[in-house]
Amino acid sequence: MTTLLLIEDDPKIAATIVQSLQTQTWNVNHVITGEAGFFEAQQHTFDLIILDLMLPVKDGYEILAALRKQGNQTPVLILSAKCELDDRVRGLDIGADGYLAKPFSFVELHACIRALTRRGAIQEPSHLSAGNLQLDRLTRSVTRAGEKITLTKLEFDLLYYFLQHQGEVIPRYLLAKEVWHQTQRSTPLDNVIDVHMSRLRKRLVTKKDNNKLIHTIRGVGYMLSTTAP
Amino acid sequence: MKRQLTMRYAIIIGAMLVIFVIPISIGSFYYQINSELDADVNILKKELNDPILPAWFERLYVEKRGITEVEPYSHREVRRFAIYALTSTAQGDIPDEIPLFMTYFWHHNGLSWAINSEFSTANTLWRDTDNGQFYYLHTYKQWINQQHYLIAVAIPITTAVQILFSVLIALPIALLLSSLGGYWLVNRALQPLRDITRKVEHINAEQIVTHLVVANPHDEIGQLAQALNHSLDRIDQSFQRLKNFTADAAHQLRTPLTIIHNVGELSMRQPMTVAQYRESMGSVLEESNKLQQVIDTLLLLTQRDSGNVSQSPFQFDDISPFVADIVEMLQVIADEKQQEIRLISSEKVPVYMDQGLLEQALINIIHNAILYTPVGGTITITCAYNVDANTSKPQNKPQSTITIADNGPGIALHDAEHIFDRFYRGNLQHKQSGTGLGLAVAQQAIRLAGGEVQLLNAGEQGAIFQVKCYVVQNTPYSI
Repeated sequence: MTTLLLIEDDPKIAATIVQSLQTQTWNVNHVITGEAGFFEAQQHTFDLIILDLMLPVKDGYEILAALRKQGNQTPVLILSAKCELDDRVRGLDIGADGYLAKPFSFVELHACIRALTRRGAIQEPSHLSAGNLQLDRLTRSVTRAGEKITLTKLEFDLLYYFLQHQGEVIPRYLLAKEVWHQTQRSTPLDNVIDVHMSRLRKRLVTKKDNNKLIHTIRGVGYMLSTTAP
Repeated sequence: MKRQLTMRYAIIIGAMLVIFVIPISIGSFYYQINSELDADVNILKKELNDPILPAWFERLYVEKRGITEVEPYSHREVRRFAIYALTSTAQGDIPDEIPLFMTYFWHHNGLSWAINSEFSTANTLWRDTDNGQFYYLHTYKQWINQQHYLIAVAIPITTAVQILFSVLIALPIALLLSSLGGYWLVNRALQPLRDITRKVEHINAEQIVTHLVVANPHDEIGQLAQALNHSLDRIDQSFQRLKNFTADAAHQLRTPLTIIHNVGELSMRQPMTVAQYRESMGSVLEESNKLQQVIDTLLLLTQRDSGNVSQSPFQFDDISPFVADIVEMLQVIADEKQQEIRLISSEKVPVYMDQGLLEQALINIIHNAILYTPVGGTITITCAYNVDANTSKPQNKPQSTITIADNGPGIALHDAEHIFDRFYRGNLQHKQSGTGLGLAVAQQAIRLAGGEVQLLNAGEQGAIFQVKCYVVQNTPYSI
């Protein structure tokens, strides 16, 4: 069982994070101040510490520096509203293992947590499926209920990404980052993503099975699921 | 400042007076006296050459000097002279007690030093004890017909001495007066500066347009005032832009906030179905995404404004494939509007620029074109090297350009100059899409990368944007 320590002073943000982490069957220990977090980290062993940078009295940098000075090697994921390059570099230099800028989506947070708590290399699956949809990464073939579906390279990559994150709501910026490899959040790309998603959705609807697999989650992004949200 | 200038002025004037006026006045005083005395002595010498000393000596002298009248009984200001016969003794030639000839009021008193002088000529200051006048006495010894004579001439110098004294007394007064005058002048000269200072002190962000009065645009203060006016204008303009920007930004942020608030309020008013709640939450999330985008873009612009950009320029032998990639990415949006994007490039177009910045700019400009071009329109992107897009003639200086032309409604003249302003939207129908920052981001990115982007036309003929690029390292595009 993965146990996490969350050091976050804003009660609303903390509450939503705790709630989202519990849905993933992770154990969360939440403290409000840096000092309490530091104490907790010394008392117990955690798989990951999620650290807010802007904390009262002692900020995240200080807590992290103190932990690392003590020889505590627990992975630390920084959550911060400071998203400038300098802040990231400073955090990583002090000894953070990851940096997530607020606002973030839970999908991204979960992905970060999984990446940082993962032990050993994970293999990219070559075969993925969702209901009667089958994808083979090696042959780059996609079938639904046995019917072959032809996809462009981009559509294939998109589908592969969605199949890897079935049932998760994927925001557009994450798609831009993971599939288009664009780091800047920009409006034009959101429009591009929308068009591609609607094309992919149409492709996945076949004569044999016209149930929607890709769902638009308004205001958030898209989700691949065999059941409607 | 005033005091310093006045002090310096007074010191200079004083030094001038001391250096020039005093020696000159004293020198000219002596020169005048000596030349007069020489003239007198010469006349007398000549007369002495006559074997008989004329009894009318004085009259003659007076005539020769061109002085028509001598007041015989005047005790003042009368030129006096005497001629002594010298008797040789063991102690030298000693003048007789009684001169051979003398003018009125001649006194022997106090003359012994000059008369007994062993030199042939001597000068001394002599005071007539009777009338208290000062005289300048000149003696001259001469042999005439085996007789040794001494000629003594005295010139009244009281007036001259008085003048000299009054000059010396007047000097400090003149100095004082000139200092006062200098102070007044400096004060007057600095008055416009003080006016400027007073006005500038009252300038703040709210009230910049206090234009300084330029009395004379050609003098230094006029030039200063003009320079200040120009810079105040520029500051005013940037403040104005900042004000507009803040107002626009507030509006841009407030709209999503209002929607979030209203949707939330409506949801709380009465129980709704799950689907309705989801709808509300979706709406809230949509708006929060917009907020996020605006804030992100603003942060990006601000960061880049402060020059906080790391660049790694890349030498493209030909920019066309790079542009083609961008077009391919955006093609899907154009497809949705049945638009055609043509990419024209008849030769290799070298470009030396940062890829990321150029890509972002081109994405924004092309996306803008897709947005504003109606359904079924055409967007033509031309990559050209060494060709002036306006005249299609080859250029002297190497230049690479990427021109994005659409056949949409074009950009109105009054919008054209603001098209790159932040949040400027003209009168567009696509209110809901975009942040209104796309072209501002594009322009900033291109400028940072060392290029320039401009709108080539205004009017109803469709919009033409042109990006000028660095061709190779260290050779900027030509304007």
